[in-house]
Amino acid sequence: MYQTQSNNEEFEGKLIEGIIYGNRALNYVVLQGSRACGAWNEGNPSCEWVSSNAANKVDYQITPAANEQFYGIRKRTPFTEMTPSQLGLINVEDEKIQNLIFQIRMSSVISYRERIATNLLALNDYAKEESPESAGISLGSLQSFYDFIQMHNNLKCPIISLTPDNNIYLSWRGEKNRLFSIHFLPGEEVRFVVFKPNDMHPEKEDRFSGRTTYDTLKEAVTQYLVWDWISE
Amino acid sequence: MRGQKLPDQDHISCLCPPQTAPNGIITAAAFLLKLEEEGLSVNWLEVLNCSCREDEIREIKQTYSKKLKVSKNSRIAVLNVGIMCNTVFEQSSDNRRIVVHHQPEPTIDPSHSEVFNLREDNELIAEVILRTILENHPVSE
Repeated sequence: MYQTQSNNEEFEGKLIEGIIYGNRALNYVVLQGSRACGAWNEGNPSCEWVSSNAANKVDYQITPAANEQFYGIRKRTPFTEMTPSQLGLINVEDEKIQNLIFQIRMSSVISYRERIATNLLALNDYAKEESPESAGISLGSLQSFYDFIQMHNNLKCPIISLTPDNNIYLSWRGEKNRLFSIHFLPGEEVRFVVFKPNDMHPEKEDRFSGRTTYDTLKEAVTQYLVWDWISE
Repeated sequence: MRGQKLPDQDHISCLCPPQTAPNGIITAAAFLLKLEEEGLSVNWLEVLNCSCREDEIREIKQTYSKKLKVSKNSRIAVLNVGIMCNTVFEQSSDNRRIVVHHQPEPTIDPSHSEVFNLREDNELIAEVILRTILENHPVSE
């Protein structure tokens, strides 16, 4: 169990302090315009955080059942000391991955944020289980995926998996064997695959693939009318 | 014999770790290569000389457990060599000829084989291979 704390740390000029519990640390998460320090509890899908908006030593617990305001005051917790070396045990990259997944869960614009975050956590655990020395999901791939799903917030929930290099691989499957898959490479590039019925001969199938950046993907596949059936 | 091309009528198994098979559903990610890999690791089932598929899968599970850290949520895909290779040839834009060669690892994994020529457009090839899966077995019952 990790403990993470904000002990008189200065966030945007405001001093805060408190202690929060979980098995993953989350720091500097932006929530509702304010910075927060938090702890993610994977076993119990909730997290606790203390915010720069908090008056004195108040912490919060966020649960999947929370409403769109994301949080409510749950309890006050005692303050305990934690050394810098203890904090240093937390792997930096792992923390960034957890932070991004947390931001997905907390996003007000991402469709299926809860399901996506839960799936990502499970995939991350599987990747680390297979190679304990690995940080899990490729951070660069996750960052592109995060930016992509923020840009396109009306998509149906995709099947999410990881490639052998721990990059994110999304797939949507539609009627008549339609398929759209995206491989988020580390960095901004993606490789995609489209299967669709031929417009003139629906009994035949057209298959396309290509490489572009995540922010131009929609335009790159416009001619295949992919967004018509992966959107809600 | 090392390097022997597997016959079209024979079958291979492919271990799909849970990150490539979320909720037991195998995705094309299971047939993608790591950056440094030349071929996709699979196992030649007929070379095991078992009497039935059930025994082949049991033996393959034992092999995996000896050489790999296998998650209990992994899946084992079974594919026919000829169907897989011919479907990729017919459905890839460059009429790709993938091949499966026997690459035994003596004592540890004598049925080990590899699928070659997946590179370039690996995602499209992987999606086509996914379509040819015949069986999807759990690693743990």
